[in-house]
Amino acid sequence: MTLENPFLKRAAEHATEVTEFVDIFALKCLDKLDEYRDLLLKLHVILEATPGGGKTTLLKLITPEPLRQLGQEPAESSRYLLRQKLQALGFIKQDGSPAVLGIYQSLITGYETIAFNAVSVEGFLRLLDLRLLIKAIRAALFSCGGNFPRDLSKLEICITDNGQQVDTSLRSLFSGNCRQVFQMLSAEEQHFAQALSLHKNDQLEGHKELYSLDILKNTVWKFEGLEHNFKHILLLDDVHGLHKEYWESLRNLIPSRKLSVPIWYGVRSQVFALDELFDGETWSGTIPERDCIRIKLDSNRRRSRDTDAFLREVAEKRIRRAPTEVLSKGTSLDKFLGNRFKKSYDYKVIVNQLITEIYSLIDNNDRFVNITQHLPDLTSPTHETAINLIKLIIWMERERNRPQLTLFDTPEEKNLEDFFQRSEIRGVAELFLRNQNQVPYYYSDDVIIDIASGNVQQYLNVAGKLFNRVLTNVRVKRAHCLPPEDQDEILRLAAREFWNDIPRYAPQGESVQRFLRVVGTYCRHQTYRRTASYAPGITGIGISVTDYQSILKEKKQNHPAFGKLSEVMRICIAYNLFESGKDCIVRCKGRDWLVLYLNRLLCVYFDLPLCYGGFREQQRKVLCDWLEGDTSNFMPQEGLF
Amino acid sequence: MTQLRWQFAPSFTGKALVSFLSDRHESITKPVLVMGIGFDPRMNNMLFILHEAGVLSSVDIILLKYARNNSYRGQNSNFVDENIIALNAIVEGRCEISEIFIQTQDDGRGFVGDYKSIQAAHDLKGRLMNYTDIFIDIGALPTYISFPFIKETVKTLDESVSTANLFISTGVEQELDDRIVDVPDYCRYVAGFESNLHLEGMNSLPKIWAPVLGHGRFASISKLYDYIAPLEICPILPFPSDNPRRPDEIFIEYQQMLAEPYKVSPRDISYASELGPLDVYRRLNTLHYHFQKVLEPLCEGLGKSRTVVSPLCSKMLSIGVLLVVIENEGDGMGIANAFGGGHAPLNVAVFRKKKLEERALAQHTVWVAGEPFI
Repeated sequence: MTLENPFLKRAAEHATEVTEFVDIFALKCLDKLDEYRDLLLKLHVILEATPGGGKTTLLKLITPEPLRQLGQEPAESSRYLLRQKLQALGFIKQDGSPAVLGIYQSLITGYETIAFNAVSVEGFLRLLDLRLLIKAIRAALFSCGGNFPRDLSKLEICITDNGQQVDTSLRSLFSGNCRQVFQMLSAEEQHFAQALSLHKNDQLEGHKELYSLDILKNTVWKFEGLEHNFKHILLLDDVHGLHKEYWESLRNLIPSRKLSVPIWYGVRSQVFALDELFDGETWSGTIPERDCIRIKLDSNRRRSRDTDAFLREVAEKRIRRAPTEVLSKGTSLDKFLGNRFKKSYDYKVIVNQLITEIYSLIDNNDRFVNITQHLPDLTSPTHETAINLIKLIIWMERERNRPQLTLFDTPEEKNLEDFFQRSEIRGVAELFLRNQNQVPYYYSDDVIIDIASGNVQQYLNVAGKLFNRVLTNVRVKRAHCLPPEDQDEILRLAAREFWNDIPRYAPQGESVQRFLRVVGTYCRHQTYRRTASYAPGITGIGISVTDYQSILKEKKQNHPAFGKLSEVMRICIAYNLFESGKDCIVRCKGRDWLVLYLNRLLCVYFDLPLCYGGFREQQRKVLCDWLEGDTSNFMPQEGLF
Repeated sequence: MTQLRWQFAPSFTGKALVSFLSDRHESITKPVLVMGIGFDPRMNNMLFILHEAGVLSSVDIILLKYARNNSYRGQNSNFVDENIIALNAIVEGRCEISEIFIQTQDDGRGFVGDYKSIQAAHDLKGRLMNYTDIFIDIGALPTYISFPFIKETVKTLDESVSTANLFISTGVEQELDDRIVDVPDYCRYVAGFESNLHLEGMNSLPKIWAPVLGHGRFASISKLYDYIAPLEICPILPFPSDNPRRPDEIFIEYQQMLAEPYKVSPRDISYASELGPLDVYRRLNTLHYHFQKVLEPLCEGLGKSRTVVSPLCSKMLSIGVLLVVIENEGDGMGIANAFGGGHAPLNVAVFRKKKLEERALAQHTVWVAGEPFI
């Protein structure tokens, strides 16, 4: 019996049927577009996200097949809400027909050879023009309700105005019966590829602009004699896959005053420079909401109500595609994630260890003579007993290390009750106890949403791993619900894989991993201090805005260490290894700090809590040392266990 | 289907290869051996055979070193060092050795190994034409290096007036091939083997995917399927094989994937002998022309169906894949593969116990250009 895991399907790439694609598309994803509703079809749009942030899925939604499918959905259909949303955004007309002609082109494949053969930018633009026009014919045929390629001869291209700048050879190709046009464009593309394979770069002539924009602006489609008017949009995906020269030529189209056809760029954050990642500007030289709109798809990386609702919707839509045997158990992920431990833990040993610890503190300090009255009942130790003892040790350690003692100094026992009630102390005590004594810490659907770090693909990967175990359980007729032990084990395994993968996918992977290892180890040391000074834990570092600006400035002056630091920081942010953004500037100790939080899966790898807020400030010089893996500037702190 | 170019290509194994080379001793006046520097225990097989045949002293050796960067050391670097020591022990300073470095990853972290391999072949073009016999041992070369290199060399020989003999050689060890698995970080058409597969104008033409299967390629199959998006999958399983249960074992390994989501039915499966590379060459030729004929109505006059081949199999079978694609590249046949992430961890030490003499007995060589083809 095969049980397919719906979480491991990438909506944009794996869905074979258009119905499947629209079924797993999460409606909440479109909320990001609401704010720009009036500008979406008027300006260029930059969809930015870290890998797996959902760019391709969003771009593919506005291609003809999904739009036609959704346009035909009746009011009682489960997909009707999506249709309404697209209608409101102006992608579908009131009568259900597509209002836009989305011409999708991924730039990640099919362009490697031209880059390697050093084909000029002009040659690249020529090839891109040919491909876009070929795609446009295909898209138009779908939008008009035709079948590709059978109905090609029923489609006609009418050019309403001869654009001034249009390359005449291209312009002359793109008119009349579509079967002939298609064949001519195809032959041109083939000719180009042939010259390329024979390394005849002199035959790869091109032009300096993307002429397809002007051509499409003036194009009206006629299918079986009926005129169809669409608003054309170019959907250029994976722009980051292009060679630098080529994507710069596309980026240069943005500030152009003459907007013929809007272009939606799907880009990974890696194409942005460090300063561009933080400020609201798009790319240098462009002005937001005049030249273009920049939409960060995973800007809500830190846990928020929006992210929460979005990821829950993603999970629910996936589970609805699961085999019936699984679907019958429930449609939300929490139905498959139990909170009852598989085994009962013996706390006697831990409690004895903690009691010994407490008595050694009392022996060494006569200020704590009365503390024994605060000891919990030890007759049958439980989890709660151990937690209370840890809290007590933390309190004693803090008292012991209080910097300024009074003349008749006594511990402030009256504050002990308040101290015990503090949630961050409870949080850190749980972390100490569980991570040091193999009691599961990372489990429940809330934790999985946290671990996603706001990235859909990361969420699907982690949830997919858990769901694999659910499917196995169902297949062998075991209880479908995963106990915390299994969840914790799977999540830690996922974190280890995530960590091990860094050198493979990130540029300068080894340096990035070395830097992150120091950051993670540092956070761990700080979190596990006996005083728990930064309860519930440190999960990030802060760099002062002044230092950050000077790094950028001095990098330009070719200061090698700062140059390297800024590049590693850029990579970490662009690849979602650090969570950051404009909202991560925090005022603290009279200065502004840019806080870089570790990706939540890295927190799991370093046994850290999943909370935000805890960070330690670092100087740029220290960070430069960390790049080399130098940990001499922080001493390992003594831990509780 | 016209006469196949390599249908009757001579091939030799083990001792037959040694005696063949010994017999031709006098006519092999200026030979060159192109081989990879790698951890594969088969790296020095062909070198040893040339030594056994008594022609080694006149051989020039070109070593293709491939890595992320020149100073890179990975988990198997110690085995590479051992192989180089063994090489020097065989050569004993009798041959001229030169090394060509092929950087597999560019600064932007893109994988360029296959493109750089074409470039290396280009750079060597003039030099190779001066030799009477060119031996290319792919034993320690990954497909993304060996395939583009061989294709360029064949092209160069075809275009030139040279009558140099070209031999492609590899050690045959199924178990080892099953264990050496590329981590599929990049998935794409191998440079030089794109044919018309990446052309937008041809996108409507049906694509047939013929993965030649071996063990341990689960991740690659899934990535390649998504990348190629084929109309039909026609897996090729090795039979006859040394182990008669081998095709069944391979099929069982991928059964869930092939039967359910990919909807492969038993009649889509072909078998090709694993005892030599030319059977798979003939099978793939037949398959390609068969589909071009039967799928013609679906093409609506816009072209012919295309075939994508993926060598997810032993090194010896991959020679057959290479030859068929070189022959049909202009007719819509190409190679897609998944690679670039190094190798999955494996215990190479286990496979190093075999002696070189023993290993050389299973060396298989195909004569692909030169005297028999004039």
